[in-house]
Amino acid sequence: MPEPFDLEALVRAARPEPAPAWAGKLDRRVAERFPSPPRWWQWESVKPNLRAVAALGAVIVVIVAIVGVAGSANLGGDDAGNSSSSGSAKVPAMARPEASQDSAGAASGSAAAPLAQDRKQIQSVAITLSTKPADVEDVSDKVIRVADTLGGYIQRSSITARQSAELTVKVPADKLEPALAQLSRIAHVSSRTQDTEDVTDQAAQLNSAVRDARAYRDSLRNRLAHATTDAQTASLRARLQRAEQRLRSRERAVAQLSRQTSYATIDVNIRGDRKSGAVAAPAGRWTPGDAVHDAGRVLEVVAGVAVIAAAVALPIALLALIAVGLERLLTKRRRERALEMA
Amino acid sequence: MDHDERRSEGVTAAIVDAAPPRTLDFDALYRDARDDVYAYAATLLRDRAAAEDVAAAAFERAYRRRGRYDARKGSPRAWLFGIARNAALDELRRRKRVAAASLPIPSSEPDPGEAAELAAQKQAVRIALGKLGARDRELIALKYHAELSNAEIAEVIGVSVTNAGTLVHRAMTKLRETLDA
Repeated sequence: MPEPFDLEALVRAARPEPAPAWAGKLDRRVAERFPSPPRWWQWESVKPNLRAVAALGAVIVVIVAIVGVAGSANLGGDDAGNSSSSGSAKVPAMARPEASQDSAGAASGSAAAPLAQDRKQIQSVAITLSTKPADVEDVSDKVIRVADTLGGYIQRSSITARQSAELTVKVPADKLEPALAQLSRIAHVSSRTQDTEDVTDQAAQLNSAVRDARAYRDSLRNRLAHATTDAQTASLRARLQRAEQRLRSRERAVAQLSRQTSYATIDVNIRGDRKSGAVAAPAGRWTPGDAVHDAGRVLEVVAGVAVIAAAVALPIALLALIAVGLERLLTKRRRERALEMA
Repeated sequence: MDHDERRSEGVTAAIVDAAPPRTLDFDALYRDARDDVYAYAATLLRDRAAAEDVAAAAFERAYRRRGRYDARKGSPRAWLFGIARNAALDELRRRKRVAAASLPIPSSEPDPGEAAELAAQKQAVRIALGKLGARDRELIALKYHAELSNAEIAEVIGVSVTNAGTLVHRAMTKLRETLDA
């Protein structure tokens, strides 16, 4: 049996030595820094096809630009249409998506107008106008004149001199867009929300109920005319009275719904919190205040997108981290198992 | 080749210094550890061709990942042998089975002046090594073929330094028992 020192020396002496050919080959690979065939995404493979890649990139950029310009042209076209017909270019862009979402496109576009005519809708808009404190009453008067001009009326008003005013304006439903356009020209629109409730089905049901009630009443009248006994007459009269009450009730509901759909409600909130520029700029002009406002809105949207992206990305990243950790743990265990099995 | 002498050729100072360098000198590490990595892989895998592949793959991986080396976490040799160990164990996993239980034959012819008795002893050690389990072979290879310190072995196989010394001692005891059997 070898001595401990001798065994260690023997083990060292029994060390496998690499073949010179392999060692030389590996030396060359190391000297060349382990060259590998270029992958398609690496510069070496892209370089020969640089022109084609550049052309492809340019085509993509042009397509994206065309799509982008087309999209913005559509938006601009809508704005221009509003400006020419009603001068509503002053309405901030921020209000438009909300309005279009709320109204499902039925109330804010000429293309949607036929659809809106066919359907029964209750439309309501809340608009906030900012002006100088001294102009609050003047702006209120102008709002009232807009309602008068368009055949509407003021349902409620509350004016605090040189501070604020709140008016509930009723305008014919088909005059809602012109009304909004005119209101937008009176003062700076700091916010605008629009809500549309489709009550077509409800109106149809009410009308049907009125028809049924009317038919029932007519049948009772017919039976009353042919009644032969006093008892029959009394009974039929009582039933006829109840039927007429029911019919009137249903007709009132139809009339109320009709009023709601035939007139749109505009809640106008006038705030005297604007230091200057109380009167809105002429249609199409974009003031520095608008720029600041829009910039703030853009930042809000960017922050919102970032938060949403983070809300989506963080759980995914967390899951990915857990998966990577588990994969590493499993790989380590498999390696150790392979060592045990060898 | 005298292994201890080779490790002292200017490389050690840059690699296992008391204040390890921030960046990895890959060329120096390669020159210092090429044969050691091969010897480790050959002893563990008992297959010359596989050992060559594993050693080459280990150096290539080390080169690609050299930017991730952190001197605070250990010596370059321990880092390199960690990579080599993973490559070797992956090879074991891939093969599912090992080659015949014999160590690769030395590539060079025995020294004519080498005593026949010594040659026989070396051959006996190789055969005994081949009969050991993979864990014991690995420990002996890391200690006596790659000349890692117990601290480096501990870092490579993921145990404490004391445990590493104990494991190496047990492996040598088993080797001795196998030789005596």
